[in-house]
Amino acid sequence: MKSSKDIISQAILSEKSTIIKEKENKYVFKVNPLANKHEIKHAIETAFGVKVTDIKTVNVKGKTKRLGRFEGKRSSWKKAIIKLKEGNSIEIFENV
Amino acid sequence: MVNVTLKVEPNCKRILEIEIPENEVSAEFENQYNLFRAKANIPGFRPGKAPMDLVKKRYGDSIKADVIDELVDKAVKEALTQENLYPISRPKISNMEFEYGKPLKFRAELEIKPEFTLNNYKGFKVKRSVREVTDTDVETYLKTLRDRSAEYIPVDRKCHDDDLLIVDLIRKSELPNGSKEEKTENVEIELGAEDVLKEFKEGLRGSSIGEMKEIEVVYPQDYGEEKLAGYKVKYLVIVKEVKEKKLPPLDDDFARRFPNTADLAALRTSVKEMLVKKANKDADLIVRNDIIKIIVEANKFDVPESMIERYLQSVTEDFKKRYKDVDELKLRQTYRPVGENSLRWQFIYYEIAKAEKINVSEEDRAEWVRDFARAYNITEEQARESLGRARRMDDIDDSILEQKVLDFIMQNITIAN
Repeated sequence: MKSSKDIISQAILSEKSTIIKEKENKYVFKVNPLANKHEIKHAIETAFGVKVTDIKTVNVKGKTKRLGRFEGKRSSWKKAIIKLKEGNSIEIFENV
Repeated sequence: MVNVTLKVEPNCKRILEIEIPENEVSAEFENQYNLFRAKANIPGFRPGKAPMDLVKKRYGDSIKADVIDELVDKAVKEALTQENLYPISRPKISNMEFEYGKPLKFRAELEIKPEFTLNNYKGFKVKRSVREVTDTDVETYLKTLRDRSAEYIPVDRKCHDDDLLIVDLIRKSELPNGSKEEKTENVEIELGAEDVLKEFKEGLRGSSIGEMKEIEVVYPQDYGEEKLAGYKVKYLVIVKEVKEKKLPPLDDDFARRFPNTADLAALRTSVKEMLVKKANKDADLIVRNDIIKIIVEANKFDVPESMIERYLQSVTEDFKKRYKDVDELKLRQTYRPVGENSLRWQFIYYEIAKAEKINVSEEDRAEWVRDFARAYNITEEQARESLGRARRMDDIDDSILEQKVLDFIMQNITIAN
C-alpha cells in the first residue's frame, strides 16, 4: 500500500480549480500516474480527514516542446478531481 | 482625521504622537489589495482573476510595507496642517506600532522654522568711524609701489642686506620621505624680503660671487611646503650672482608709469583717494557687521539643531582640507556660537524682508550679474552661463536680499560719525 504522500504530489491552483472549488466543492490535485481512484480516494481521506463523494481522474499527456532543433517531451501526469462531501473542505496551500 | 499629540521641545524641535484610526487603516489596506490584485501576475490565473486570499498570501508583506509608508506619509502631512507646522527637515519616524485590526500609532520628530517676533531692527544708533589717511600712509604706499617696480642690477662686490642673490642650492640632508641630495639651480633669494628664513639671511650675509657656504635651516612647523615643515635641513649654497636692488626715484617720470597720471602730485592725490576709498569701505564693513550684531543680539531665539550641525560639518570639513591636525571638538565649540548667530541673522533678514515687503526683482538680479561680469571682466552672457553652471542663482538671490535689507536698515537707523 502506497502512503498518501506518494500518491498526492501537489494541489493545482488555477482559475478553473478555484471556480469549481467554490461552486461544487471540488478540489484538483496532481497525483501519481500509477495510482488508481481507490488509492487516491483513500489517500485524500486519510491525509486531510475528509469524506470524498466522487472522484474523476484524467491522464494528462505531456506536451512536446522543442528548443531549436532538439525536440523534447514534458512528463505526462495524472490529474484527479475530487468532490468532497458537503460541509467538508481542505485548506489548500501552494506547492504542498 | 488623525489624532495628534504635540510635544514642544527646545531648539525648534517638535514631537508628534500620531494615531491613525483602525477603519482608515483597513480601508487603505482593502484599497491597496484591490489595486494590487488587478495587476497581480500569479501562475494559473490571468491578471486580475486570482482569488484575494492568494494575493494576500503571496504579496501581503510587501503590500503591508507600502501601505504603512503611504499611511504614515499622509498622516504626517495631515498632522502638520492640523497643527500649523512648517518643518524644515524630513520628519523622523519611530516607535511604530502596527497590528491588523488596531489603530496605527507612531511618533514623528521634526524641526520647524524658528518662530520669533522681530524687534529693534530700526531706529537704533551705530557709530561709523573712518580711519584717517595720513601723509605717512601715502608715502608707505608709494614705497611699496616703487618696490614692485624695482630693478636688479648685477654688481661685483660683497652683498648688502637688501641685495638679491642668485644661488645654486644643494640639499645635503635626506628627507624622511626618502628623497636624497637634490640640486636646485638659480634660486633667487632676496635678503631684504620678510619671508626669507633668517638662517639664510644670516648665513649669506656679506658673501660675494663664487662663495660656497653650508647653511643649516630649521623649517618652522607651519612652513608652506609640507614635506619640509618642522625639519632640520643642511644646504650647500653656491653664490652665483649678486644683484643690487634699485628703486626707481620718486619723481614725475615714475608717476607717469601709471595710467592717467601727469606728475608726482597727481600720483599722490590718486593714491590718497584710493586709500580714503578703502578706509570708507572698511568703515562700511564694520558698520554692516555692527548692525548685524546689534539686531542678532536683540532677537534671540533657538536655531534648529540640524542646521547648526550642517554648518559645523561644513566648517570642520573646510578646516580638515586646509590643515593636517584639526581638533574637531574644540573647533565645534568655538564655531557653534558663530554659526548660531549667522543662521539667526539669516532667519532675521528673511523676516525683515517679509515685514517690510522687500523683494528681489528681475532687475536686481540683472544688475548683480552686470556687476559680477564687470568685476571679472567677462561678458554678461558668460557670467550668466558660469553662474548657472555653478547653480548659484539661489545664493545670488539670498545675497541680493541681504544687501537690500541692510540698505533698508541703514536708511532707518542713525549713523553717527
